[in-house]
Amino acid sequence: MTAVNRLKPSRLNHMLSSASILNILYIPALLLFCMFIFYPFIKGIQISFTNWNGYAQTYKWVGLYNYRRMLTDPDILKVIRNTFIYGLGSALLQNLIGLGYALFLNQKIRIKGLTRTIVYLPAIISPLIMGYIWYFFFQFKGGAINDIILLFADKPINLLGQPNFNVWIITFVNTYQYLGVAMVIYLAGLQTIPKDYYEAATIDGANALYKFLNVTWPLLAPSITISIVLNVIGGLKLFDVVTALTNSGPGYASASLSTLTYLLYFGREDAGYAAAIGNLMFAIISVVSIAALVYLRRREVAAS
Amino acid sequence: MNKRSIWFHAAALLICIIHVLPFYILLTASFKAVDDLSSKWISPGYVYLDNFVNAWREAHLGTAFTNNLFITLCAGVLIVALGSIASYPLARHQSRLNKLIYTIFISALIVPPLMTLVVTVKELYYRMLLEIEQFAQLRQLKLFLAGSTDSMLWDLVSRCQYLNDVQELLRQTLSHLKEAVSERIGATTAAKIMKFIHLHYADEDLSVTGIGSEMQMTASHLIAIFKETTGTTIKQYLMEYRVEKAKELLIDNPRLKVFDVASRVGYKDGENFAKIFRKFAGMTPSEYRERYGR
Repeated sequence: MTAVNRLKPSRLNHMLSSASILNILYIPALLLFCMFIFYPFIKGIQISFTNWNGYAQTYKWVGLYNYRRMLTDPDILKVIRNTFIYGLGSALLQNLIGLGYALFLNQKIRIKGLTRTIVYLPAIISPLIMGYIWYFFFQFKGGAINDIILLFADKPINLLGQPNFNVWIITFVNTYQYLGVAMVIYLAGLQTIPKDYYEAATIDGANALYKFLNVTWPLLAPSITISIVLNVIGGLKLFDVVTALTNSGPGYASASLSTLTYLLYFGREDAGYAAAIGNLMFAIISVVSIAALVYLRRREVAAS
Repeated sequence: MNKRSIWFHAAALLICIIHVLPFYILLTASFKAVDDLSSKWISPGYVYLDNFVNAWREAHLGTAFTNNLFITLCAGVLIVALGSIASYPLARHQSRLNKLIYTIFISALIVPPLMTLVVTVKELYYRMLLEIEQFAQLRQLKLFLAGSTDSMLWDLVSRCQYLNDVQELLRQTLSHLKEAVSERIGATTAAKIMKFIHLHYADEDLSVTGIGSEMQMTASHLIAIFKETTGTTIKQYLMEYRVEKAKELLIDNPRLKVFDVASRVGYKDGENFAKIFRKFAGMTPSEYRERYGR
């Protein structure tokens, strides 16, 4: 009797703390993941081998036809180039400026709390709305920037209509929006660096640049990794700002892979090809982000 | 404050101003009237709140906000509940399986969002029906029975089982719309006829055929529409209108002879006029003048 009583809780304890039984805890989350990410993803791969138009009851299997179409598509190279500009360009700008802001706003300034809040503010707004707000600046008729241009020139400039320039406007708006996120990550990283290191460096007679290069930079490595990887993924997936500012135009001049997928699916009712482009995008994002992650992790190890 | 500190504060202030600019432009734009084409940098010198009223009424901001709140609350609760219990075993037992599961969760970040988008035929039809309903509402045409709620249309669509059902629903709605529009056109045709009579009642040659050729419709069609929308015939209406006008003339111009009044409202034959006047007013024109004249 007593033996059973003693055994029961200990066996329960043992079961609860054993690894396999605890794994039950992530099953609800895994189920949701399968339903909303994994199943549609597999479905998307399946659709990419068909000529489905998006809503018909019937479709035909066309094998690799949709993937072969990519090779002859005149727009695809431009779209991939745009996607890389959005991904790598805004990641670079966000991290450079974000790091600069973080270093600056880590100084003793009385209004640094306010400044940090204001810089972070755009990140809490929907990117679509942010796109429309900036549209007020760049629009051709009555745009805020053209109002300034008209002071010096007699003709307004169609900024969003310049095929090679509007890509950079979109990169800029995306940078403006998520600058605050990079800044906050770096600010958090800066707080984890012990003050003693700086004191030791000061005693050794190091100047500010030397302290940054030999103390701050290597110890910020984990923050740099996470910030760059997140920003690259976010930029490669960019959709809302493009739609709001140029709607991928003129033509497909400012399209990203996301907006191209959308246009093909709903605009041209070419779901099969759209799914194929979506898979290409998945492949590109995987390769780029995993490569960035591996490289930056190695750098972290080397630096520490 | 030393010099360095002042420079720092100035720079921080500059950063604030640069980052606030888009919100400033948003603010000025939201308070400007639609026809105000002044530069977006200039704040409007008046208070104009219609944009906000329109956003609330026409863009259904209330519904959107309720939806947003619901989604955020549910998603928040689910994320915290499922996320926290899922992360516990993943952090505690870093077995090979759990490392794989962890990687799978993280990989959700890189799956393109559109790949997970679901669009249905019903949604397409629903949107089309919404457009039709809005078109009808703007013109105050009644498509559905009174007392219909916002969700009724979606209920109708979601109840459909087959593609044929949704198509039938769309066809029905379109025929309702067609009926409502043709009713409206009937009403405007009658109004046009009345207006024509008001302008030309003094013309003694005015006839139903004349009105018909003026409005490019056959007389019989005209009579039918007029009867349906007003309940009287065109001829009857013309006579009534002429008598009303004659009454005004009798009182306003005491010197005018009855014969002249008759010819001014389109009756060549004075006796005929007297007869008709008597029928509608219950007395002769001269009696009328005596009783009501000044």
